[in-house]
Amino acid sequence: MSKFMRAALSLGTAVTVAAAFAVSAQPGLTSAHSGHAKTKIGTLTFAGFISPNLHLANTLDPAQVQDANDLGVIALVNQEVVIIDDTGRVVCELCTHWTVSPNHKVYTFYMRKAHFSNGDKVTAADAVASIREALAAKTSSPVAYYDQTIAGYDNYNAGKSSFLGVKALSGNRLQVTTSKPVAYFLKAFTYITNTVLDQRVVKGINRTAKGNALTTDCQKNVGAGPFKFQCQGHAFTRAGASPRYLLVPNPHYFGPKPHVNMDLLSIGTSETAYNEFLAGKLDAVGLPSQYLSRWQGNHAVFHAVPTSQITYDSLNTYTAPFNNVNCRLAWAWGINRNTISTIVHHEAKPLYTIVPPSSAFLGHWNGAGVPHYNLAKAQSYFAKCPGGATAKFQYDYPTGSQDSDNWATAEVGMLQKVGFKGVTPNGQQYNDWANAVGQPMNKTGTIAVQNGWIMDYPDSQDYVSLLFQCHAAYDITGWCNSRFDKLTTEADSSFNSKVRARLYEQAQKIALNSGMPVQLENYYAYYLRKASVKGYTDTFTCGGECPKDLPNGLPNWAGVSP
Amino acid sequence: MAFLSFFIKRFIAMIVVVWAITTLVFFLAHASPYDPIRLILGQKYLGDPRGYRVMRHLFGLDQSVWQQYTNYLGGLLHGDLGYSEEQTALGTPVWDMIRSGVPQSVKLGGWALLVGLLVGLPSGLISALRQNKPVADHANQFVMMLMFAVPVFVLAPIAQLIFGVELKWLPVAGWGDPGLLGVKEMIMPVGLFAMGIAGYFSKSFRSFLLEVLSQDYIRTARAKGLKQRVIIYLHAIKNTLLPLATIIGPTIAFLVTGAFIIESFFNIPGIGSITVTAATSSDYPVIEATTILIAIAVVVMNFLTDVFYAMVDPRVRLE
Amino acid sequence: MAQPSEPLPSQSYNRDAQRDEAGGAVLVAATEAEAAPRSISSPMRDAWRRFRHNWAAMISLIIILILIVMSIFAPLMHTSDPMASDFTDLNAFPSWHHWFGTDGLGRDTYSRLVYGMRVTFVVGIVGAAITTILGMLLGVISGYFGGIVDALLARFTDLMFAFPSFILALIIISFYGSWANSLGMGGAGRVVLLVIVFAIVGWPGLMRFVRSLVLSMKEQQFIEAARTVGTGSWAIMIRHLLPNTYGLVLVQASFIVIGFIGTEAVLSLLGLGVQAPNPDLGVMLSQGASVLDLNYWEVLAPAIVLAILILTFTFLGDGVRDAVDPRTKG
Repeated sequence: MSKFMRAALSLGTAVTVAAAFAVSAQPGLTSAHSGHAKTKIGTLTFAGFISPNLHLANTLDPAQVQDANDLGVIALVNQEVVIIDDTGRVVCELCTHWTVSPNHKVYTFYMRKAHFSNGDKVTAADAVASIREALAAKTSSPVAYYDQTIAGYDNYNAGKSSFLGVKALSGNRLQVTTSKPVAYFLKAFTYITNTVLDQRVVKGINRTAKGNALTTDCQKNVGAGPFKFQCQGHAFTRAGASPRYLLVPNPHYFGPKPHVNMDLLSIGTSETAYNEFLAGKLDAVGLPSQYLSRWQGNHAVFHAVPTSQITYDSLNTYTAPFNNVNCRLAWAWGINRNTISTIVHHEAKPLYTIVPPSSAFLGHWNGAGVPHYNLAKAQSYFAKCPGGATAKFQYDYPTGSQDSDNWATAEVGMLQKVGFKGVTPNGQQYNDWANAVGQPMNKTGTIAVQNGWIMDYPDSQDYVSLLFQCHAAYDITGWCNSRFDKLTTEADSSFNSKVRARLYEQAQKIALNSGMPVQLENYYAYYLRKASVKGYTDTFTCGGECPKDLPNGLPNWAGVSP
Repeated sequence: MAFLSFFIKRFIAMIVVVWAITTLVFFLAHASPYDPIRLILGQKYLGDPRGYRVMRHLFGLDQSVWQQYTNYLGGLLHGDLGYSEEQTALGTPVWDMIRSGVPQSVKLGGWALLVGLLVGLPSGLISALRQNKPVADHANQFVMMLMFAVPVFVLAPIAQLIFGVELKWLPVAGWGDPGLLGVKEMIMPVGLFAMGIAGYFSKSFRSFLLEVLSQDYIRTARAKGLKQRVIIYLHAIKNTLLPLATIIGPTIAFLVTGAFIIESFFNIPGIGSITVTAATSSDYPVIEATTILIAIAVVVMNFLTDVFYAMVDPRVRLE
Repeated sequence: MAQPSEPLPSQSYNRDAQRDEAGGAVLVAATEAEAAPRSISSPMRDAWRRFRHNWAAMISLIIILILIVMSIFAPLMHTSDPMASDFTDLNAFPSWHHWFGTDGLGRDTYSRLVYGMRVTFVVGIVGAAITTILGMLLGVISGYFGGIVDALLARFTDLMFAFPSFILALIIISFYGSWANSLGMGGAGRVVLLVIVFAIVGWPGLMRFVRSLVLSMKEQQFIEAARTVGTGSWAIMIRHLLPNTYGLVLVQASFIVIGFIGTEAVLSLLGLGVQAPNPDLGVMLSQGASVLDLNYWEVLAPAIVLAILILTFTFLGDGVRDAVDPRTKG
């Protein structure tokens, strides 16, 4: 997900719940579909959504996904052709294996024998229908972008042509052609956009912003995933009660079938969620950061998992003072990232690279040779920064929690120590902040803004090239460096992983030594899970907790129990 | 006849006020410096300018404001309130949001109102009868004002912690579960909400009573025998019920907008929190719908009160 | 309209005056509205004499004045800089060095409270003052002139009544909050916006109340007398009508202040009030409430200050009311 999770209206704490799955002992709930006679199975109760207006997922349509919460629930009821496993590898989900042509442009996937929850067989034609629908002009999918390397994408997505490089060679053979050799294609192809839906369902989705069968009609939300929705008529949730999704095992799931129900609640505030966990109602909960110190030693319950979410400062290079590299470097060297982490998380998790430190990425190194905290060095750069002492500007950040306010306040204090006397923190409502990070800084007049990114797929390209190439879609700073662009473009189409890693590392050093961006932190998901819950593991690629993987990389739902 | 013409005049005035509010809130909402579609797309806006245009067209936001206004009024007359433009509820018909939310807000507010009255009125009564006594009036009123003014976002986590986590008497949160659980779930939110209402009514009732008690005939009655005194006090209380009826209208609006914190803390799917989220995220159709809904409730309540007065006291009609 | 001379209690209240704003801000204000205009001939001096003998009200007044002086001269009152962070001393328990402890950034809670009260007083008292003056002027004009002026103002007030004031405040602040931030006045821009918004939403209840007072006064002898000796309309309003409403209006104002203080705290919770890092009572309350289970003293200090403010303004309002309207004295 490339967007910061929507900052909820502040109710006092950081709302940082990665689709946290919690388990509640509510035995006695019987599954309506469990093959034989009715079997009693347990239920896992999770704080699936923290939302002051008690909304559940923004959408249940994989082509319209907006944030990590949507992804979490969609992934439980749907499957894709390929997915990322817990080590960051691409593995088959709805396929058995695949082949790649020698020119690295044609991929052939052999589909596995599987069924949707309505009993329909999964075929290559379903995959074609789903992808064509997701990328079609009329769908206007905000996540179509991730398939842009598929041949014919540009014209097809613009509605100018009906050709798209995705076709069914036979009932079980799916062929995808890319427009050029792309090193990260398979990883991008794991993105949620490529979820396989039943082609009969696809015909009836009627995707408009004003209605979408997948989201509005529970009966039509059919997937090949381990779970299916327990519908209330055509509704997903019972009217007049606290909103929740109740998921039950999908009797047609091809893999080891789960023996639990999933109860995903929408909870108004993170305090309420935390209190519900303490009272025993939730099986797991995202931990409000102020309670970290209380739980950090409790290894049976407390879990800290690195995520792919990074936070960095974007500085406006269109205009003074940050069109001068010394001003940017004074900023980059002047921030004590350890202190910030300590204030926000009670432990140090600073970040000195563009790519977060995890095994799943190519091109991550330890951040040697780029700006770290050094006040003397910062001040020496500041001495060469014209107008830095007199410039009056605001440091914009998304307000909404005590943590975010404390963070910005502390950071501005550090910058003032460096010499930026005229900087003041400016906490923005989500609206304003989204505007500031949503368009080039010379358009908004923003000078400095706290920015963030969550990976779409675990590959360095998703950070290094996508964010910081000259006039890249998500670059707002206006920074351009031809050598950086050359290195990253070369890396994006290199099939030798060692060469790729070296190229990305070189590119990152160039960027960071230009003070662009100023890396701050790698976000960790903190949550509490009842010690009695079995079968879960905490992995980076889940951004939190997910079922332990089987040897073939597929999640072992059969092993999960309350 | 006088009554009928009074009735018609007031009725027309009511319609005009509702129309004026509709217009006011429409233009107020559309004066927003924010673009709801831009907000929905967030960073994706940069990568997908075409999708932005498609969505603006879909919501009719590419039309002129006047065109949008006439469309909106036309829709209102047909009972079409439009579609939510907020990220988490995108495309949901506003009518569905209102229809599912209002009964829950009414359930919460109705019980809170009842409990609030049952606590607030006796407290106000004691306070007025024992005016300026340290405990019966001062301490009593202080507690009531505290209940009215201490923010519920401070009290709610305290209550959850004590009654839900420590004592485990009540569920921490939840709403609408069947059976006894559903009843237990209501106790905390209704109780906390009722505190504010009780404070408000206690203060009001004390004032109304003091006013009546200072009337000459009551002062005379105090000098007389007990039996007569009781009768007159009862009469006085009866007379304070009329002004109490007039604050019911504003209380409705308070119940809806004031409930949003309670609803968030206790997972109650009402319209208070929907309204607040809409106001802070430029969700025009929802802001408009909830504002108009509350306004209609208040205006109708005032209208009924006026009519009630006119029936009780004929001189009002001549005014 | 009810006349003051009428004997029956059922007609002695003013039904218009009780219809008040809904959104909570001035909810309390109208509840005192029935204090009908009967004491108009009592000189303010008598009222002050009676007020002085009401110990609860006097103590409240003194406490409020002390707190106001403390917040005005905050730089002389506090022990440390309210913005200064001490990262080595986060969430500290109250001590001799930090009287009320420190917060999550190691800032001194006592200092932040003293400075934070500035916002509370400016928003509460200045906001209430502006809205009170607005309500009084419109009420006097409406009541004195009557006719078309009255009708127009009355319909406009109807509109304002029915418009949920809390939503109105939310819309204005969420739309113009960033503009207020960009004024470059630091935290003051937000405070100014809050005062403006409260002034806009607060007056209708008071306007109706004053209007009813004026309606009952304008038929009385001293106004008739002024008119017969040729005093102009404006002179009558300013010299004779307005001064006679002060006492009862003050009662209302004290409750408006309480309502505004509470509303400001709620707006702060939504992130729409005073912006970090500026100290503010509402922000301190909501932040303290979130660490209740860990560092209870962080919510205790601002909660006690809030309780003191509410208590004192309540007794002050009651005291003024009893002083200007001795007949309600038990």
